[in-house]
Amino acid sequence: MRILIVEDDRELASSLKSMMEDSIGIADTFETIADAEAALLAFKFDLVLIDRNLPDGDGLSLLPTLRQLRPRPATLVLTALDDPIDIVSALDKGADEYVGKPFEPMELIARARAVLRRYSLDETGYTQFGNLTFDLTNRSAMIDDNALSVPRRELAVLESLIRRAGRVVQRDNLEASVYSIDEEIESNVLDSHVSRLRKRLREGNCNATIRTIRGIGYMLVQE
Amino acid sequence: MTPRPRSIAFLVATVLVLGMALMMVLSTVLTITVFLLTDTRSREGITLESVEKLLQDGVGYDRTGKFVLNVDGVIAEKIIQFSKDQSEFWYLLSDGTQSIRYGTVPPSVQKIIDETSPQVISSQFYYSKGQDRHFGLRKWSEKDPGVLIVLGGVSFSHAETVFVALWEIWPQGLYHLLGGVLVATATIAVVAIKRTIAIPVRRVVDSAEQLDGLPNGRRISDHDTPIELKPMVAAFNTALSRIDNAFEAQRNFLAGASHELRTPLTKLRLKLDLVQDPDMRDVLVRDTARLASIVTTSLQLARLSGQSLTFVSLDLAATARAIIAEHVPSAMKKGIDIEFKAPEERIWVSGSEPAIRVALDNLIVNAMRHAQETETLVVEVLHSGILRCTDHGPGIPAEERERMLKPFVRGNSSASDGTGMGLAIVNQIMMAHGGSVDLGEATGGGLVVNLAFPQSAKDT
Repeated sequence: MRILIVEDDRELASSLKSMMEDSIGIADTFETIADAEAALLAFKFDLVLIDRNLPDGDGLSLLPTLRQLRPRPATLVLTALDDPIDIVSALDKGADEYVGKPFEPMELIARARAVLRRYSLDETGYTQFGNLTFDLTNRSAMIDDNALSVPRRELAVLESLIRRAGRVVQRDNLEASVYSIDEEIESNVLDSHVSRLRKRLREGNCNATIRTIRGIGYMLVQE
Repeated sequence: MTPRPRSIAFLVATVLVLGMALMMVLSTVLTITVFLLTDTRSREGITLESVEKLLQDGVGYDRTGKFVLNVDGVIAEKIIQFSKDQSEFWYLLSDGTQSIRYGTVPPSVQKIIDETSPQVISSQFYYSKGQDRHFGLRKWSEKDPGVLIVLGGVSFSHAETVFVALWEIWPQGLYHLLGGVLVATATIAVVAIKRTIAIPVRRVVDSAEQLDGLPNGRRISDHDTPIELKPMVAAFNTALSRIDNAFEAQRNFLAGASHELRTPLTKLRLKLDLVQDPDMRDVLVRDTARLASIVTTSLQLARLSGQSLTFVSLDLAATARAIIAEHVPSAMKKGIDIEFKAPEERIWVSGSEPAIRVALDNLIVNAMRHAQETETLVVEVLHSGILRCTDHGPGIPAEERERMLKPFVRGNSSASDGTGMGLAIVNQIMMAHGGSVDLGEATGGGLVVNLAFPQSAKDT
């Protein structure tokens, strides 16, 4: 994994660099939007960490360039949490995720990993969560090296959950990803899919499990 | 198209002048009409009396002691003018020894004069001459009690009658007219002031009241504003521009402060991982988190007071569900379960989603801070547009609840690491929504916070 960090505060940039290198991959730091843009066009990066206030403008102005890159790197914006409009504008402009400053180091790493997981699923059709491997191309799942047999619907549930692993997937969204609009869904069908899937994961000794968040949805978590 | 400048003074003056003129014409016409509607006899009486008064004023003695009607005076000229047109007009002025006559005193009248007792001061009588019936007047002069005035034979045309009548009623009529004009002026002034002054002022005041004191560039329109009020509107708008500039400066300051505070805080937090002593590290990490929280909430509060919220109709259940979903991972880390309850159907309320997000973020963070571990935090959306959050923490004593909605007031528990602003922010946002915050005690202990949103009309 190769990570690009755009942060004008050298001390913070070096902390971010060492955090990323300890847990995710090689990181390069740049202080200005212009330098970062040049690097993005010259090299391939998997993840881009963008700060907002930079000497030559708002870090969000990098987002249009990022959107045009193929393959497109996953983007994580470091933003102020006190202004929800800031967060919305970051996401609207194409950021995959945001982390409010100041952040817990664990939180930043978890978010970065989640973004990479989604990105990897989109770009390669393949991703991992704990000892669970999900392969979208072959429509299969593996726990460690053992193939896990999962029926079509349950696999769709698992795909949705792994895409947003560590965050809640709302029930409505999960239903929408498993059933077409025309299909009649009985109220507890989704619950039975989830409980069968949960059982499969447990029996396969998976260290990931599905938590029910009452009134909201489900969440894939590592135990 | 530029509207023609309007002036209150010009309007008031025009209305008053036109009103007064109209009043004068009206009262004159009214007087004449009343007079014309009076019956012939009364009119005759009035004209005779008028002439009688003229005679009474004109009669006297000259230097030689001769009894005369003052022929060189205006009064006499008038009488002569009348008499020329009146073939039947006659008068008799007598002081007992000398007398002045004009025209022919009919014999029947002479008889009446002779037979009437000198004790009778004033009398009216009718007499016939040929086919006509005439009206006569006999009166002792009020100026000189020795002078007897007798006259008759007046038969004026309408126009003449009016002329004479106007002459007669002139001083009194003038007072009436002036009185009428004064009353009319006062009435017109009241109406004109209301129409031309109060209404434009009210309009300016109304548009001023619509301003919410937020830097949204809103100004009072000076369209259709009278020129006298334009300087006031301009001054008001200049003041608003200054306020906007101040808000803009504050907003820039906040954005700057937010960034400038966050970067060192982030560095501080990252460096704390290098602290060797785990106990010390935990304490420092918690303090840094609290500091960060104070920065966030202070800036949120400051931002809210300088932000204009845009309200739309939104589904409170869906909005709340999405926001709460984001808090589940951090709650889970603290061993707290979050449960969400909402009716199947949509609950339409009028609100600003970004503001509701800030409110719910603070509400949930506050509840999580006070919830004991392995506790379930329940968030409910009710049909009535109420969002209810229940925790089973220490709660807030009834007497402190009101105070907790003010900034920088922290809960009684000294262990509380809250910023003392969470509920204040929630309260401010609910106020901006025209809603309310209600703090209560949960069954079995803890805090229940009810956020009542104004329901929106949308109903699908």
